[in-house]
Amino acid sequence: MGRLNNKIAIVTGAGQGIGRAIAQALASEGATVVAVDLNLSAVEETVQVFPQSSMALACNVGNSAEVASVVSKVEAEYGRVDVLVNNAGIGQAPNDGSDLYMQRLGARAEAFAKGETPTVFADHTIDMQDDGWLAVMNVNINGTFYFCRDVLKVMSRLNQTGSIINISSTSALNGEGGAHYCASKAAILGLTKALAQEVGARGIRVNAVAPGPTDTPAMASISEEWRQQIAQAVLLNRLASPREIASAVAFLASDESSYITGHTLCANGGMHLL
Amino acid sequence: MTSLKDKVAIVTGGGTGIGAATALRLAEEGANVAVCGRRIGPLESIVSEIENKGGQALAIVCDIADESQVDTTISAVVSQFGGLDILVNNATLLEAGLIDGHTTESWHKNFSVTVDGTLFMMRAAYPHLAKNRGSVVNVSSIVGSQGTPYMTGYAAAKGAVNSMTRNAAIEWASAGVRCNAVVPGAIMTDPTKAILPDEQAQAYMESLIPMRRIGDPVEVANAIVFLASPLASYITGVLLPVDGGRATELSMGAVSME
Repeated sequence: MGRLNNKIAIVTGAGQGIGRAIAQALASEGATVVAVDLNLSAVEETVQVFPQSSMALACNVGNSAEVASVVSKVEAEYGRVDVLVNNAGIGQAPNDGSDLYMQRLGARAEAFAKGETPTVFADHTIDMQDDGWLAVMNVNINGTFYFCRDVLKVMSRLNQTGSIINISSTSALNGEGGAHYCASKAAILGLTKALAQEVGARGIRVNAVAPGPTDTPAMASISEEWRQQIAQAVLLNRLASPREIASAVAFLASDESSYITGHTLCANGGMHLL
Repeated sequence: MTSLKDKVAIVTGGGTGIGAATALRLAEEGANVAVCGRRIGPLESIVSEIENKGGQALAIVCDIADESQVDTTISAVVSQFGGLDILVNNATLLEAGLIDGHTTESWHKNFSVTVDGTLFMMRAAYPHLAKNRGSVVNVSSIVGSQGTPYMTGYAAAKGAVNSMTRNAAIEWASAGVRCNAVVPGAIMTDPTKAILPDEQAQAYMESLIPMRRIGDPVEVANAIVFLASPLASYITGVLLPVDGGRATELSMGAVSME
């Protein structure tokens, strides 16, 4: 059926957007997909359309006990894990200063519109509370670490090969975004390279994908004008469809990329060049 | 893998190694493939192999360092297959030498095929690629971005290929033409075999690679096919290492971690 026949794949954050598209792409290549999300009914909907057996599980990836429980359930059911895609991530959290940042952006835009020089800077980090910072770091980098560790335990114990793909962001490279988000997505790149070296000798590959602006439900709420501005920051002058990110992930999951490890693949319409 | 049925591809240096593997993989995905190189023998054997598997291919003798031969080649492919969708710039030439020992002639040889030839091909192919919203994949090398004594000319030429890849991605994006490169590490081709005289040399080379093995040409070919295909429709200006993780690692760490 496809490049991932008989493979067992876990995809986190698979309830919507890029994660759902990744789960669907892997399933269409023949993989048995375990779709994981905070929102159980959303992942149940994701797996409904899959032709082969699949599993939908609720999990807060930032909670190591919940991650351990998911990985042991998958091993109990299927006997191993071949592919792990760490896609679950958040861009903001309560008390991270986003609200004040948005107010400042609004004030600046108003000043520009009147032809005046803005009197406020676009500060964000000065209002980022400890818990707001930690919430984003916890889901994005700790969650990725917990899943990598627990899946590698299984791969190592069974002496199997495999492929891990961590979803980073172009923000990790260009600093466009909140400091917590950029830092967490850049940390994913360090984790990816370290793991690639640690487990490469036994045929386990670890790569990252850095998406750019992607047409997900989360992007649906923004204004058309803002959307145009974002598209203009991309060489290809449009947002990605979630499917285009998913096809990069499917390539890295498959044996077609059998000699590629430790790399960060930009699927961002050339945004990293500008 | 996605189908490249009825797409037209050109592969330079297509008679051997990574180029030959790429020509075969593109044909397996359904593309009509023009295989270019300087010697007719290897080209004909790849074309027969493709035709025996039911594919369509064309052997073209072309020295891409000669721009008039390049223009003739592009015209011949377009008239034979009706257009052009994929250009794989794989042909290269290596003149090793120390910096203080390079003759001017050997220095320039490193650039004639790899840099001039790649530019000639991209320039002549572009109008046809733009018509079909096609894509370019250049074959760079890990030496283009990491220190490699004794091959400064070659390394500089591959560094130039990286720059040309990024700039073509920018210049051609609005026409819908994507341009990417693969960046092979140690791949088991004839030139690699030539620098690995015995098992000890091979074991040392492998010890420097996180995956502890030298790659196969088809592994590079698979990455090229991916980048050339619609599966990579949102990927442009990327330098994709196919190196078993070599680029992520300083050579000192590898052995001590075993």
